[in-house]
Amino acid sequence: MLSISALSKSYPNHAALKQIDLHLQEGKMLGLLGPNGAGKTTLINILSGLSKRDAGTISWFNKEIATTDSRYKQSIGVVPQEISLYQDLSAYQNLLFWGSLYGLKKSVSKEKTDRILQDLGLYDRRHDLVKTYSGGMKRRINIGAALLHDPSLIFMDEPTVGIDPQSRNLIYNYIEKLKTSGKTILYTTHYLEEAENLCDRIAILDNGKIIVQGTLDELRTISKIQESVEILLYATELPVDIAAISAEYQHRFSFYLKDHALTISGSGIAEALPDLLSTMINQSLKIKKIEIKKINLENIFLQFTGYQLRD
Amino acid sequence: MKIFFCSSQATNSETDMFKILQKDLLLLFSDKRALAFKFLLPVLLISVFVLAFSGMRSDNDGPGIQKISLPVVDLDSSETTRYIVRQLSQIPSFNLEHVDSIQADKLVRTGKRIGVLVLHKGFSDAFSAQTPLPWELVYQEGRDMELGILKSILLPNLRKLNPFHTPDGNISDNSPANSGAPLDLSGMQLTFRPLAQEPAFRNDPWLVQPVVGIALILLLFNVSGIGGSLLEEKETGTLKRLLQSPLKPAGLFWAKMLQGMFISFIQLSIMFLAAMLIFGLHIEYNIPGLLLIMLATTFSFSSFGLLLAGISKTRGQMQGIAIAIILLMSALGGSMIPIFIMPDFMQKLARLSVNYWGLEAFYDLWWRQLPLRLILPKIGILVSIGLLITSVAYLFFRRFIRRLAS
Ligand SMILES: Nc1ncnc2c1ncn2[C@@H]1O[C@H](COP(=O)(O)OP(=O)(O)OP(=O)(O)O)[C@@H](O)[C@H]1O
Ligand SMILES: [Mg+2]
Repeated sequence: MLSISALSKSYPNHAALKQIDLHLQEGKMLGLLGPNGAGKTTLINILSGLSKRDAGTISWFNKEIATTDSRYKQSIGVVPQEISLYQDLSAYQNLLFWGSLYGLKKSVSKEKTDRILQDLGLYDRRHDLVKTYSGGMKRRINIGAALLHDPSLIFMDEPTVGIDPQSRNLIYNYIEKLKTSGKTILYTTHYLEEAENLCDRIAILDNGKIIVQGTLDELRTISKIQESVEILLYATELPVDIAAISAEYQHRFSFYLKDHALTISGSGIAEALPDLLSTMINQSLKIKKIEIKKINLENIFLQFTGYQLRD
Repeated sequence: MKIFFCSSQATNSETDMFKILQKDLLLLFSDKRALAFKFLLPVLLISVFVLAFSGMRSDNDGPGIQKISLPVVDLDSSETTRYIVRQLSQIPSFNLEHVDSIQADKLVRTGKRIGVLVLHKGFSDAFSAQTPLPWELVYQEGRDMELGILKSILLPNLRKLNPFHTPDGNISDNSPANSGAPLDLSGMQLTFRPLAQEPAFRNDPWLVQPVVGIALILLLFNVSGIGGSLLEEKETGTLKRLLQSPLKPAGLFWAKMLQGMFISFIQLSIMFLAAMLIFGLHIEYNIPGLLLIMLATTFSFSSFGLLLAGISKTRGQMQGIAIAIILLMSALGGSMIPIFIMPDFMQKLARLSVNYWGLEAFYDLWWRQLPLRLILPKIGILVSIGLLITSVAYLFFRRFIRRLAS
């Protein structure tokens, strides 16, 4: 639906985006995962027609377009990272206003406003001024304000930053609803779980570059990360003679010991686990805990960027 | 131990105080433009006030004093009238202009001159015959106060004229070589005649001046607030969101313009109505003229508010700049000190201020009570100023948007 190719953007002393290629499939949700300063907001600003790009093309339904095109703008909804609302108006007034900019008829606008407020759990407080809302409530209205005109393409820039799990779940449910109604969504986040659980496809943006993109399965394959087992030993067991344990398995698995945790990874580790454990027991090591680790986005992110997003 | 504890607390709060002070100074000096305005403003403002009042000072015979332009129509064209005109032109407070009666009529009717001195045909004969002299000062109705100033200069000088009869009945310079009896001053009696019928009601300029003067200052503050709302939208992020919507930036500019005009119009209406109800200002006179002037004023003033927003980066900066420029323009343009008491060169300088043109238009309407046709040029100037400022403001606005989108 939306294809971005070789898109670049530099600020006076910083290259914010470098040769970005990205593809949004119609009706799918793409998660753009990246740490602070990666360039997520910059990309959304360009796609939403706010900022100019230095180079690159943006195609919408296979046709190159200018992001200032009014038909395009009419079809997109933008949830900005910062709360961008009129604090001295009520939620209801805010939504009506933002809807009116898209040429909605008053009656249609009112009906949609009511529905969105209900979906976001704010209907009862709709006539309160936005400035009297909690951070999480403001976030929800910030989302609602982008959706009144029923856009087919939605950009969400870290819409759940700094809110409690309850508000977050409300937003997740709402996003699920948007997904089932066939919206195409570009969702930026630095929360791994969001990208992993919510999005159909994931792109990792680091330091202005798209490092990798695909479904979680595709990323697993590309990343070549192996399944792993983490074995936690009692402190008294240190130091551990890894060589003695690994001798037999060295060619199949990699061993890594840090503090009391021994991480063994490689494909087929789960099947080899009983053998491994008996070897360890033969070495009279006492095991505190065994954890089989699935390949998740966290490992993948670490693999591609060389650091952990949680740090 | 206890004392030690207390004193250590005190030092802490003292150093805290200096930390806050240091931070505030840092913030203050971070905005050089606002700072310049903050310190330059008092000096400029005082200068404007001093110069404006210099016309009223007792030692006011320097080059900057107020000179009254007095057109003279000499219909007699005799030795005697030429002599009198020559004598009058020596009065330092006057700037005598020789005009014909058509020009004179126009000058007075349009309010450009307070009045015109007309020496009618037969002046010389009447003078010789010592009958009442056919001369008069024809003035524009409703300019009593300025007329008062003019009288206060003209009449004593007429008395000082003191011409002498020559034996042949003509007058000559007051030289010892000439003999003859001094002229009977009662014969010099000048008639004062208003140009047209007195209207049914009349506004006191001392009422028009504060009402309009203050209204215009408040209007400027009001429109600067509208400009500020643009900067507020930038600071709260709603401007970005607006620019992401299908709304065209130009639409935003004109919306703010309309907002400025609308609120200013209401503000003016309320102030004028209050002045009518409380102080008896006649605003019912020439309603179409009033509406036109209000529209022109709100337009040019609103454009000014948008310009202020365009040249400022933040609301804080704009506040500093706005106060400086508004006070300066208001002082210069006659909102604080009546234009008619300013010295001549200040009156010319006043034209640089939008307040001046707004005030002048309202003077024409409510004080000089000119017909709309004669006020139109001033309305035209107000609109032209508005168009000019709007164009500049729009260029700044474009730059403002471009920067935001960079
Ligand atoms: N107006 C600007 N002028 C100069 N540099 C900018 C500007 N806006 C962003 N940058 C820089 O561009 C880089 C990317 O910023 P951007 O806001 O796109 O990051 P982000 O991925 O959205 O980060 P975050 O998760 O913190 O929101 C940063 O290094 C930032 O400092
Ligand atoms: Mg961001």
